[in-house]
Amino acid sequence: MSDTMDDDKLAELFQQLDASVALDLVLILISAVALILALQKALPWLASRLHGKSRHLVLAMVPLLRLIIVIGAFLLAVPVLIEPSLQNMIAIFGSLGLALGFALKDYASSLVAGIVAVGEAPYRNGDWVQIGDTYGEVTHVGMRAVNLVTPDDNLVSIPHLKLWAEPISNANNGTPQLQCTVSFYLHPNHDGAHARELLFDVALTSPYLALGEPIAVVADEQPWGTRYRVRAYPIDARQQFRFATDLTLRGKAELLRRGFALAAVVARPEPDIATG
Amino acid sequence: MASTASENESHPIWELIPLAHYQLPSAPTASSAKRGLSSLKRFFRWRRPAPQGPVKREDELHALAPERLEAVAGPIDWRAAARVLQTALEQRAPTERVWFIIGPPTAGYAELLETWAEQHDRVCIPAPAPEVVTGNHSGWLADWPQDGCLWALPRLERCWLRHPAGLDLIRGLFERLLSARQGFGLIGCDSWTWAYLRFVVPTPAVRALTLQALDGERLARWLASLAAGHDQRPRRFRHAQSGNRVLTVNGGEEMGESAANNELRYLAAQARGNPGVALQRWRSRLRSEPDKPEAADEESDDQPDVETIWVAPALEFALPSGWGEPEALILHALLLHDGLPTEILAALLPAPRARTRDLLWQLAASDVISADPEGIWRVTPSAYPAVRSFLAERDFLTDAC
Repeated sequence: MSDTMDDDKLAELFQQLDASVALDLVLILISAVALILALQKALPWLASRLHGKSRHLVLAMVPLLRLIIVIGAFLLAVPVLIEPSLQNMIAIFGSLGLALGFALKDYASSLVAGIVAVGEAPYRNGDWVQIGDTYGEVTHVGMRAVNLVTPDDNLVSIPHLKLWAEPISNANNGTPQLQCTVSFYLHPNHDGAHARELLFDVALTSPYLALGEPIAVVADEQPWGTRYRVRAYPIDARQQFRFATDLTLRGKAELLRRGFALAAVVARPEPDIATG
Repeated sequence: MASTASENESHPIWELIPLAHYQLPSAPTASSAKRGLSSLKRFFRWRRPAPQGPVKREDELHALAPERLEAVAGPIDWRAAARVLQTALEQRAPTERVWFIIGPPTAGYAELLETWAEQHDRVCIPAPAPEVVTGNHSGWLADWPQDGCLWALPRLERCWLRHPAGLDLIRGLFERLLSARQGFGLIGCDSWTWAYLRFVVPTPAVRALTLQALDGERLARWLASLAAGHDQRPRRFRHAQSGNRVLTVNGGEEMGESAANNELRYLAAQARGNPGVALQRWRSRLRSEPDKPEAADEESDDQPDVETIWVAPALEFALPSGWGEPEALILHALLLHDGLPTEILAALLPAPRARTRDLLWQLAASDVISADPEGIWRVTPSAYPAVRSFLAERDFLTDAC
């Protein structure tokens, strides 16, 4: 008797599910999915034909617009599905929240983090980020996870819930400017001022250099020699590895041509702990 | 030419101005909209068949014979501009020891300085060889005209290379120039080199001048002066599509509005006011009727001596859509140095030499670059505006002109 009453109360929450309601729901669902798919195709296509800031701006719009579509579809679907009263809303969403909280805790956490990721934008499409041990370019910010393509061309999917506990290092933060650091190791006995000037010119003459951005040469002494780090920006973040390679090869060649000796550490066998 | 003397004085063809005052010519509104639409179509790779009904179809016309082309759109005579330069020099302050004449590629600033040096019997300093730029250059710097002698160095862009060993000479030269150890002189410099040198040497203390861009009016008067030729024959340039008069010379009739018509304004804007680019594009559009290359057309029955030359519709030079970073690096290096030979270019770029050579031939096949008899590759005048846009879109450093 009591079960029958509960069933009746539950049934009262929902609209009468007939063919027209089902059709409305299907139409809302299909429209939302079609819009999201079109958006996810069109904006990256448009971005592929743009460069610099405009490319990053277009790419960053994808998750935001998708979220707007999802919220819009949800707001349209709820009144079709349930009787839109405060009591009904609390009952339905309370039950839904409880179910998600227990059964799909991580999934729900990722979805919520996905919404936070759109708002706070710790990563956007086109950014170069480090999450945990993974470094790569953000190619897709989904509802549940973010996709990175690593320099080795591996696609890594990382759930948004990492946002809660892991530090996220963003190298370009929505702009084309990304600092690259290249290290050179020289024998300690050399003219440091000359080496610094030379390495500055190596960066200044790289065809990949973004000329409006600063160049810095930082030196420090290490037990095995002097380490120079050249910090500079390529024109586009996607050129970072080619830029670093160009700096490394031309810097090394020019240092050797001008008589600088590179630091060399002699490999020694591991000491035997037992014998000291 | 119908322009009055007072107009010519207030709006001379050649006007020397500070580089910061350089103004690009604006296109007529309709042409700007048309160009914007055509860029949009190119962006979406949509092409529409050409509109119907030209006054003269392309197959009815022939390109002008070389001798006719030389007669009506011959090479640039820099003597008038050199006189403008000399007048400006005579008014210079005694503290201004060095002037820089900056110009975009193909704009002829080096030829201007060479002409000026020849006119006034000044020492013209040849640019150092590439091995001098990257090697021992103390001899080149020491071998300079004595103080008190006015000299000209027409090609500063040949005094450096974008290479770690290619900046010492230009730094040494600027140090001497700014400390007044090199005397009085004029230095010609490519606008792209000048843009880059801001990051290498202190340039604000020196005087940088440029020739004002040719706008529609200046271009009309300049093209008319070229087309006047030695025979002083009346000539009329008519648009092959619309039949409208584009330019009239040697008293064919009053120039009036036709002097500054939209066609030439558009040409000036398309060429970014660069005389080299404008002249090349103008020459490529001139046509004659094959059976009556110098004959009058039906419109000039009342003036049988008027020669009619047809002007083909303007074409936008579009780069292939698939081009990317390798092409951009080559084009940027060529523009920064105003041309380079293959071996030096390959040494400046990160790509393997064989790949650079292949790309050079591909670019040459698309008429974007060409090599002169000395083997120096340069961006062609017709492709220059498109190449500049291509590089600017990709955030490469561009010039101020």
